[in-house]
Amino acid sequence: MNDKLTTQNLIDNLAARHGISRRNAESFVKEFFSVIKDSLERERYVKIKGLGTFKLIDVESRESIDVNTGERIEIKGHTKVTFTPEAALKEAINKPFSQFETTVLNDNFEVNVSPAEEETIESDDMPEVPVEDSVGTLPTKTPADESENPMDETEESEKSQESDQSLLRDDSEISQRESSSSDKPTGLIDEPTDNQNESKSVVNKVEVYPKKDQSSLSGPMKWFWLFFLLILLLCGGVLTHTYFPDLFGRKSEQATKAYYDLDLTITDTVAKVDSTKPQVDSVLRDTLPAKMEAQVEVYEKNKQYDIVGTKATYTIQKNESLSDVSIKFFGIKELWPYIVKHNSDVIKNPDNVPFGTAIKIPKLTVKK
Amino acid sequence: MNNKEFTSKLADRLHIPLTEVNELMSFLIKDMTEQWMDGNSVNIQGFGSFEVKKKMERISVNPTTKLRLLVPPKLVLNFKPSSIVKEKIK
Repeated sequence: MNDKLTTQNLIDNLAARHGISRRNAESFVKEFFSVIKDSLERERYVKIKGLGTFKLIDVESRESIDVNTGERIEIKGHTKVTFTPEAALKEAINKPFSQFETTVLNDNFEVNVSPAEEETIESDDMPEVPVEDSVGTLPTKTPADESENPMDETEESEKSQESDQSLLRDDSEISQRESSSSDKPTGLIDEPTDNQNESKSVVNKVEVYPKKDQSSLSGPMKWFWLFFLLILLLCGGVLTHTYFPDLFGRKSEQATKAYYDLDLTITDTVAKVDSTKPQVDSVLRDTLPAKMEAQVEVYEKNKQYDIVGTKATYTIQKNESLSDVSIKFFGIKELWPYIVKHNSDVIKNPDNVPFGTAIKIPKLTVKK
Repeated sequence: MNNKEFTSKLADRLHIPLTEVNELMSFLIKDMTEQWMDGNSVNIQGFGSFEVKKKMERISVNPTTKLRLLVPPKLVLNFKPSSIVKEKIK
């Protein structure tokens, strides 16, 4: 593998393996190529059975650019020597790759594949490279940083999963390639040696395909994720509802606000109530009872009131809210928070006081 | 020059019978092929070198049908004429 043989090697082989004298072998080999050279020169075309055809081809002069200076350069017309191997020989040499065929591509791969690169086998690891390459164009490419162990790459489950999901080809074809690559003749399987060009081009493909993978992958997967998120949101909503029942509606906000206001007013005025009560009473006694009654009875929504006792008891009717009850007893609905405060042991949820709940209607006096 | 002419010319130059030339030729070519199949290159001084090169797979487009094809990777035999030969040709 990767050896460079010389005429001497050929001669030695000829002599050793085929029982030909060294002298004969040497003259034969040397003459063989000499005749090719001469005949080619003279007749411009030499065909050798089992080997191939040597031709002389004339090339016209063409304009080109000097790579270093960038100036226009003329490449003069010249004659070149070409060699085309015979069909059988081509097949024999391509044996490691013989099972591959040209296939029609469906729209599943990035076009951004690096152009065909020529590389000598000398620094290559052949069978592992075909696995790499074939796998590479199928979106199963593994990271190039592991280009030293392409065989291991193909076994990485993560990438194979991606390939399963996004490949259009038959899995059989892939497994065929992979298995065939592992069945390569031992002469070709070696410790992988790095080939910079190879890994670079592989890197190109690698960089290309994983991206493609991700985008093509998120197609069906995306829906699963969306669905999952939706479920999560719903659960979150339910949880917040159970733990924070007051989060719904402005009324509840007002209730909680009024609640706190009530607390403040009540605690602040506890002492005052006692002191003012006799005064209030005296004031009330001074005024006409009817008026007092009228005063007590007229409730205004922007005034602060104190709860001084229980005016009455009441049972909640069907579909009746606390604001309805407030209207019934106070004439305005805005005083319902006082009812809630007065019945804090009974009313757990001001928004929903069940039918039949017995509540005490507070006696309210205006806070001075 | 076809094969027949070539072998007869070789026979003349070496003063060996044609059958022997054919035999030797087949041995030589077989040996060389074996080397190439092993991935080795053959270098003939004053003539040129035969190398085995790997071609990467590529995507090509059939211009008429516009179908995109995936051409698989392959190994090819390459011949590089030596400078002596190139000079001679000029």
